[in-house]
Amino acid sequence: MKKQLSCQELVKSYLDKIKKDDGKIHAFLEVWSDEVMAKAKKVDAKIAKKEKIGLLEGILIALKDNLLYKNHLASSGSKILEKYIASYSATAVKKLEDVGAIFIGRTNMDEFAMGSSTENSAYGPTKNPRDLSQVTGGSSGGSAAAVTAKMCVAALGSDTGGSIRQPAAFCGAVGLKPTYSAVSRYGLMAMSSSLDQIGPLANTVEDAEIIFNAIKGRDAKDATSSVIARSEATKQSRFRNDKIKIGIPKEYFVSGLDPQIKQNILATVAKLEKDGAEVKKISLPHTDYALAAYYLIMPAEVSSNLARFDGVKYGLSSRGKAKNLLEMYNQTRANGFGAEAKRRIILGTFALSAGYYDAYYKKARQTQEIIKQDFVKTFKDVDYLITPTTPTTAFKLGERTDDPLTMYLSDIFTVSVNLAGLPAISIPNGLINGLPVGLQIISRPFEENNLFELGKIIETTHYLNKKPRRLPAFTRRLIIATLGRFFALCPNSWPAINCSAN
Amino acid sequence: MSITIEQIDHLAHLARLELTPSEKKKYQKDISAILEYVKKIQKIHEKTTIAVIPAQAGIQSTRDDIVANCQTDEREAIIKAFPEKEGNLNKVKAVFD
Repeated sequence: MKKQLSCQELVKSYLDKIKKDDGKIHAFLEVWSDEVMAKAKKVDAKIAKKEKIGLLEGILIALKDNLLYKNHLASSGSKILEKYIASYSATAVKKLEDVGAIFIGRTNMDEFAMGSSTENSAYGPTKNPRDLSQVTGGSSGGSAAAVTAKMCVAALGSDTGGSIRQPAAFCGAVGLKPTYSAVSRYGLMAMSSSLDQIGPLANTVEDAEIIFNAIKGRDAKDATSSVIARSEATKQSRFRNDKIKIGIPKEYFVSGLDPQIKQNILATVAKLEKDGAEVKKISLPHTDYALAAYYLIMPAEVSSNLARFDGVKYGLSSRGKAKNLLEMYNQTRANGFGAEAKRRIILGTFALSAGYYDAYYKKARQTQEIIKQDFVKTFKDVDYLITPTTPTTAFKLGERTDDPLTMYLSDIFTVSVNLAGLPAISIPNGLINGLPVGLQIISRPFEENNLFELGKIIETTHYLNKKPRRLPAFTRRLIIATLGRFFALCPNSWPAINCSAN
Repeated sequence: MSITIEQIDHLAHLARLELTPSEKKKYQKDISAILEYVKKIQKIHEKTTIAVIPAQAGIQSTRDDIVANCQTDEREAIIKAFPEKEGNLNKVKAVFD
């Protein structure tokens, strides 16, 4: 291969881009410029000496501010952790570092990942690179903006109810929410532990795939992380027909959906059908209850996870006027948390409190099971579901900040996937009035590879960041036929999960 | 359902969170509206009952209970983060006045 650009030149071009544009966009809370240049120099030296280089050697990746990177600040977009320095690295971060990635900086986010617009950051909102008057979505808004403004190659985010996919859709990035347990959560600041997953945001499906494959896998430090043994699961397979089957859930094409988005998504589905996919209209009858269940389960876990921020061991500690320990707790938390964090702590405390637990939290957990069953039944008939990622394109800054419930509704098409523990990817699918549209593909647990394959077909149809290009019809049909054959080997049920400790 | 200021006070106490009078009023309004929305989940259970399965069942696993030492630099970083300390000890406020 011919050397065309040194790692230092490449890194400098990204740093220049940040210097030029990030004053307006505010994707980054901190850029580690000097450290990044020093690392790039080492990469160039390695290449010059013809040493072995890693899969992502010298590739610039941005980290959402709730991921720990040893000896670096990590504030989770909150005042309570403004000066907190991580004492260890998250497993996903460490895995990327081990294959040579360089972390360029930490990106802005809604405080403790609670929000859908990045306006809940204690450090001010991030603006959408496509239109600075619009939000980026959230909570991984800084990561989505950094990626689409080409201020890094890719970024890590976290997704609890749509926090990777929704900002990816609003900014025009590819965003993957992996299967629950596919990526270790060790070193990710916990928001809602039964729903949180770390995943990549990138400009192409292939980039997202490379990063996902680098960070996935069992980790002894996260008891919920798993190893899925595909070979065991396929033993129970029964023959199914060759065509891939795409389900279109009618509950995702309802009146609250922008009609132009509906048209945009269905046009892509029609193209896939023309290329040989079988498209079926299906129903996920309990979809309407998902957001309600989510806004009980998630705050309940938030109220528990955020109890650790009490001013005792690290972070902000308001001790000046406090007479005793209890007053110190109360004042630290009053001074350190923003409005949305407080709102969800109170809501979650309510859902778990005596007298209300059965009527709210327990009912929400039962609803979660019913929603999961909807998907189990559906995936007996189809291999993929295609939906819009969001009901609207990006909205204006400040438009929804006064009404939390309206803000919560931005997650209506993304939360079910988290409740059911499924993988889903948002793919840029063209523009409406200059703003990106996200198409969401959902599949069975641990079938991320198939999301990537179908995602690659779709991104070549409406590719935002390059001139539109299409794979030749023959190639498209060949991929769709191959995918169909893959599904023919798959079991007609959820794959078994192998959790053997390593 | 709507929630009272007294309930907000009680929840804030349980959550160890000091709220200003204007915050209490705002959260009373917001949380009442959210509870009004989420109460729809009560409806689907009128027809069916379903057992609650532990969150993300089947993927929990345990490991052997082995004592492992913390790395020296990690230990130092943790101690350095204490808001107030005496030597290597973390100093906190008195539990009682």
